[in-house]
Amino acid sequence: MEILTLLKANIRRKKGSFVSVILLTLIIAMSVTTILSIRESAFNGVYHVHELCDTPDICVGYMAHNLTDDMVDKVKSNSNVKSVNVVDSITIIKVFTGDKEYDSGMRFIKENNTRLLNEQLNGIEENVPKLQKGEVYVSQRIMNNLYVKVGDKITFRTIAGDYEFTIKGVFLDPMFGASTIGFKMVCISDEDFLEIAAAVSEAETEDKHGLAKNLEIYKADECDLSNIQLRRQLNLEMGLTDMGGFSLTNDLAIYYTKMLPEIVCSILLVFIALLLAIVIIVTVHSISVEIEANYVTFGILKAQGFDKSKIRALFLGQYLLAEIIGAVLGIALSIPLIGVCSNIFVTITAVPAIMSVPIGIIALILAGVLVLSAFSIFFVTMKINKISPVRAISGAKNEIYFDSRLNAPISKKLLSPSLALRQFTSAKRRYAGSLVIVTILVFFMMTISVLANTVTSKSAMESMGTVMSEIDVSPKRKLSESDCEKIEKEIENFAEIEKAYYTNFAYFSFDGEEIASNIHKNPSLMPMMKGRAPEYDNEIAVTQLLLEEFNLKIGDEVTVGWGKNKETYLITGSYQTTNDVGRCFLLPADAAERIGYDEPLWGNYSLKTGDDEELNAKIVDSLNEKFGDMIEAKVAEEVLDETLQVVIDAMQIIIYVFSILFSLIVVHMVCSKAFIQERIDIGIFKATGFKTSGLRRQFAFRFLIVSIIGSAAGSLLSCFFSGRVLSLLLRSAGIVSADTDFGFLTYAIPIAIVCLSFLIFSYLASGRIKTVKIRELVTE
Amino acid sequence: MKNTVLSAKGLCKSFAHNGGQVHILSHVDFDLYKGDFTVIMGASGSGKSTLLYALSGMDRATGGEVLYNGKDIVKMKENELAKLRYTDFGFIFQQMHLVSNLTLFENVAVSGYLNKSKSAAEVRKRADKLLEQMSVSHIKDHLPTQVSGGEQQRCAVARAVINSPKVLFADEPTGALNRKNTTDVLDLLTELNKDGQSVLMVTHDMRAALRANRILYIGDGKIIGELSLPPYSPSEEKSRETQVNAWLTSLEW
Repeated sequence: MEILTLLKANIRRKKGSFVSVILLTLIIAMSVTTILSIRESAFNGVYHVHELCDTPDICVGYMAHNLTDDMVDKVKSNSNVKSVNVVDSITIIKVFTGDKEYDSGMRFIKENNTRLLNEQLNGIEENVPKLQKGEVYVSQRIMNNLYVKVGDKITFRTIAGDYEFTIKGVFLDPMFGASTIGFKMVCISDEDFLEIAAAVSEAETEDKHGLAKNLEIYKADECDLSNIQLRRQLNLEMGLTDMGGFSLTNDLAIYYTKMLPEIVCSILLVFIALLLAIVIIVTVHSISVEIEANYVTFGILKAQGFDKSKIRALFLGQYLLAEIIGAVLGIALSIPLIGVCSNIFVTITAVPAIMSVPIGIIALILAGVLVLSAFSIFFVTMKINKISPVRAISGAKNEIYFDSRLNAPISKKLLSPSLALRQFTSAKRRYAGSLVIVTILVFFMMTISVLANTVTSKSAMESMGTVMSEIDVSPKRKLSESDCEKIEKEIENFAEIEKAYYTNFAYFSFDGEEIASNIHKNPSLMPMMKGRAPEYDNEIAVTQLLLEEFNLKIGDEVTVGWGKNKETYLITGSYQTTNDVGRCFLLPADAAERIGYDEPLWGNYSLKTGDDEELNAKIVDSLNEKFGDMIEAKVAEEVLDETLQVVIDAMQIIIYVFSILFSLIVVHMVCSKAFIQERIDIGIFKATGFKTSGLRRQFAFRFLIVSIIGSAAGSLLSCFFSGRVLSLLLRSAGIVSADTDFGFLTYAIPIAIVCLSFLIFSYLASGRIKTVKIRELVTE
Repeated sequence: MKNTVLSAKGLCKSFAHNGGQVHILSHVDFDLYKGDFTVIMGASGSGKSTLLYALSGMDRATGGEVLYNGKDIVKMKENELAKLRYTDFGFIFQQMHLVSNLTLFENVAVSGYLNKSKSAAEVRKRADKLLEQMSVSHIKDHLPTQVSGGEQQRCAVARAVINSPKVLFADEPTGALNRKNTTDVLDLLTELNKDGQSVLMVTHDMRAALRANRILYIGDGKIIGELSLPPYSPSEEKSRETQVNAWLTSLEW
């Protein structure tokens, strides 16, 4: 009862601290609940749609002539296979409208039991109208890339020519729909399909094929192999994927679909964890100051018979109560937020979310937070044990609330700043918490800026295995050495070429497993992480992730197959790429030819003039005019998908806004405590002639010093650790060593935001200096 | 004819309390003369400190006026009062109130730095001189908590006079000191007064009051008695004490 009375009195007297802790915990609880729920909702949607659409365990795409009835029968008769489904399809070269195009691999399929996303992209359409001639259902990514909407017209190019369609809707494609998967299916009416198939069949030659088939395989219930293991086994037994153009298992499709939301949520959760650390620091600081300020009161309480554990329980009760209220309010407030934001990832997953709140995990996390907080409070209140009633009441406590002083001189010219510096240096301990907080905020703001910079930086993306170019050339036939020379010479009439890549991308069998390969005419252009680039036709390089997955090392040999051909290759080095989330290997063009790969290579030209739109357009026009019979040139598209850019921008805004919000609360709390401790000094300064405005500037300047030092520490941390943090967070996207790109603004913006926030908020908080009356110094 | 430095007319100070008004000062008229060492005495709660704070502009009177150089400081804005504090008025507190993380020297110098008419070098030189005069120059780099109460108060005196104020206000400057330190501080104030410094001091210490050439007695918020004395001389202290004692007794002190 006595504790309850004191608790009530304490809360009444220190409403500011109590409310601040509630607010901080509210933000943490609301963020954790929202992020985890959005993540869970998005993933639930993915699982639900896979179940709803009964997606095959394995889907392999073939050119029609490569999938024989014999192969289908063999697959069907395999004991691990329950059933197979052969879907006729037609390959699409590209889809375009105006100056926008998409050419990452597509196939027409007949509309069959198709399900549509509703117009708001937050649910599944109940009534799906049967497609009429000239109408098409496409994936969300095509809509994003072409900037089109339902009702717009788009044109598909096949080997038989161009076909214009009207978009009737976005169809639900759990296997290929996600924005992280390049390959896309396109649904058209039976009538259109048959018409185009007939035209394509007529246009086919021995080298040019357009008719295709998708083999959908459903695993037997008793099969205990994973989808990837089954795919490998079927390939080893009957060349399942060797004869195919692409393949995807549904668990890999789920992995790719979840990848970006997972990365985004991980980044935000790491940020929230750091904010939690800030809350703990602020709480500990607040309690520590409170103990110092109420030294006499605690002495009196002890003299009256309160033991140390009762006083400590008082603090525990006060702060835990605030945290519990904050947590409950945070969860409650997050519910409407989840409702609004649950479909935030739909443009990435192309699947509507199913709202769910992982209440168990959230409760566990918040319980962990409370335990951590309780432990911190227990630790910091240990100093109460040392308070002796007699010493406290007789005022024998240590009057020096500052811990040391530096001999930074007090200057007449810079009186306010030098006094502020003295206040700071003589009470370092008081500002240590604030320093750590600024360091954390600046570090994370910089890390997110580095991420944003990196994904838009040519050099950083190149070092992470992405081919960055200004001009792209798609061949209409295989380009000879002299063709390449002519193209390069023509480009160099306008601008100097920095790097000329000739590449392609295909799936090969890699020790029996279907793995993507970057085929390069000049592999030495690819930056290696370890070892050297492959030079000869019996050498390859593999990604670090693939080395780990296959338990390989540089110097080992692997068998690579294309169709029915297989050869042994030596691994000369490791590299990284985001293609197929890092499950990839680098194959020199000669080495690919050795096993019969004979596809033409694309030209990608990186220019020293960079992103000069006018010049690049001139080059493209000139190339198309002169070599239009053998190539089609175009200005390279942005590597970064628009959706991804929006996601990164959104993350940056969230982190910046939270940082400002936290600066506000932290400054308010620290200022309040500093104000209590320095009230007498403020009175003295006023009595000697200092003006309130000068004292306010002095007060704010101290926090500017704190923010500058914290920013410097945060910048240093960022220099050393941002890359590592990003590598850890981006590992699931295939990046094992993120090459960070630090620009001036990477440092300047976070530092400016934090320093200004601290300066402005502390100046506002110092308004209370006005309330200090010199009369308070009088002892009557 | 003495020159008036500071003049109060009809000075009032009231506080709201329990829905009513408590009058601490009630229409006080008072002149402070140049070069005088004036002491205000009175029983606890009589309003002597309140009068000092109202006269010095440290606290605002609720009625009447305090004229200094023809201006009513009651009506002065906060910034004007701040300027007055570092140019014309010096103040000594009972509890010293030195800034705890500044050395003794810095405590004195910082007040001097506020005065824009003097260079930093001039301020430092004067601070050194004053600290020497106050016999604390040997500990000038110490922090307040590292020196005795008397030394702190001597430093506070130096701080109060760093800007050569026209009036030095002192609120029971010896109230927290032992006998030896009390004598030292009073000697310093007497010395300053001899050099022409006008001093207005509140005290209830008889020995402190003996240093004055004018003693005012305040009761129930009004000045109810005044005693004029010749300038202080240590040799006459005994007779002076008898005279003041008798006067105070007549006022039922």
